[in-house]
Amino acid sequence: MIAHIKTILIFILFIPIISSGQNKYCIYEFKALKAYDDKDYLTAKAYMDSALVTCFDIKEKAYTWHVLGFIYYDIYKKIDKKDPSSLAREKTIESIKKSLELDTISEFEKLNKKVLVNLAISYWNNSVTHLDTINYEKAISFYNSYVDLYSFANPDYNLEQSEIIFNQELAYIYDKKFLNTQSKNEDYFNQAVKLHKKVLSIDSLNYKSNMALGTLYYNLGVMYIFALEDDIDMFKFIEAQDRAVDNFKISLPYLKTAYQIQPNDKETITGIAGVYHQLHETEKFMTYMNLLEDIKSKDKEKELEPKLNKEEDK
Amino acid sequence: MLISLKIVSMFLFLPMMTVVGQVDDATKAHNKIKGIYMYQFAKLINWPKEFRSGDFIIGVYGDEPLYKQMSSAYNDKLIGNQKIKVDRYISTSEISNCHILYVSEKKIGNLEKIRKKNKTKTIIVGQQEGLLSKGAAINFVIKDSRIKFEINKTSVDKQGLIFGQTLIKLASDIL
Repeated sequence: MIAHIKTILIFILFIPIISSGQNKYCIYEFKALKAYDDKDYLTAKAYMDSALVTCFDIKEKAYTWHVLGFIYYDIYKKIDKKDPSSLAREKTIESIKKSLELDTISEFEKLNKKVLVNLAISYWNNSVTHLDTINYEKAISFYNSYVDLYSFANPDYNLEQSEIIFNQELAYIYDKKFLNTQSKNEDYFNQAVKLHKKVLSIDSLNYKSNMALGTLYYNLGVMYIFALEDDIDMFKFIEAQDRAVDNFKISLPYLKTAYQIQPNDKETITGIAGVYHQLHETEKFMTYMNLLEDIKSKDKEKELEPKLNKEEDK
Repeated sequence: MLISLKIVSMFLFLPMMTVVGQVDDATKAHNKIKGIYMYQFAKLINWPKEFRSGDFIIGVYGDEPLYKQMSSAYNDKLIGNQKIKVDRYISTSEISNCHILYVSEKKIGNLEKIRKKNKTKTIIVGQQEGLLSKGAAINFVIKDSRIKFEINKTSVDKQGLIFGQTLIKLASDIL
């Protein structure tokens, strides 16, 4: 039953080739459609290649590229099993874009754009699965493809939210690389900072990036001290202490913004207390430690509340 | 809609970064800095001949975390030909023959007693406002959010010891 419906749909889809007089009859194109209907996508593709070579003027038809795009789309999905390195995905995009370009009356626009959106999402998914310390460069490439394609298919769609998320998660990967490598390559640190600052340029009150920047600078300051050799030259030691303090001072406004956004977050308060402790500002350190204790005891009270109510019910 | 669902799923997979250690880190960092200073004091003071035999003793009175930091970092390192030995003291009676002695803030009340006992032998280091006038040779101070030090050159001169030029140059104050 489904096969019949599919056949009918395909012929409806391909009616213009026969009825509208747009094309002269092209045997290869017809065979391609038949093969497509039989789910023999590779044969369909081969016939379409022949059609493009032998049939006069079909290259100029939006319909031709629309069909070819769908053939490649099915090769990507059903033969390549959505392999991230599938060339069929790129060929689909190329064909569909060509179809949109030639489609002056927007005849296939809706279907074409739907395919592009789906493929854009597939790039997003690939970027997510590749976002680790080894494959992150591929993730960046997939993310860029996602942005390009989604913006092309939906020029008015606001991608800021996905930009925020991707930048934050990529920054996390860079930070991980920075902390996990013995050489402490500061390029990774700088990349992480750059990405979070990019997020703040979109949303200055983003809790996660404010917290992350505060944390990054704090950790760098701590690292400068812990990395000191025990018998370091006195002048180098003084310089290192200066660098550490500079980083603690840079971290503070970010942590305080994070605190404004989430005043009851224990991690943020601990972070601020930690920075004040590093800066030897004992009073402020104690203020935030007391605040932390208040929140902890309120949390405990809340935990006990339901138990007390249950006791009263008895 | 599909996009937003995928985005949410990504949030769930990747963790948030955390502040490493926080408050504990600060205490450890302060001890590391003080330890380096103490070692530099040992290196950058000109010790008279009578101080240059046997082990080089750095004593810590009343600050266990600093003692642990210093003993793991400096035990058996050399000052000239002398091996460093970091000793920990719990009471004043145990203190003797230190080249340098750090007295913790909690124990600073015993400074006079320590000083009388070790008058000419030991460079006493501490951290409290006005400590130099109470007889310490070196005092850690907090300036511009940094641990710095001030020195009592007059009293050290009397002991027959000489602060090296680097220490004099880097001291935030000289008495």
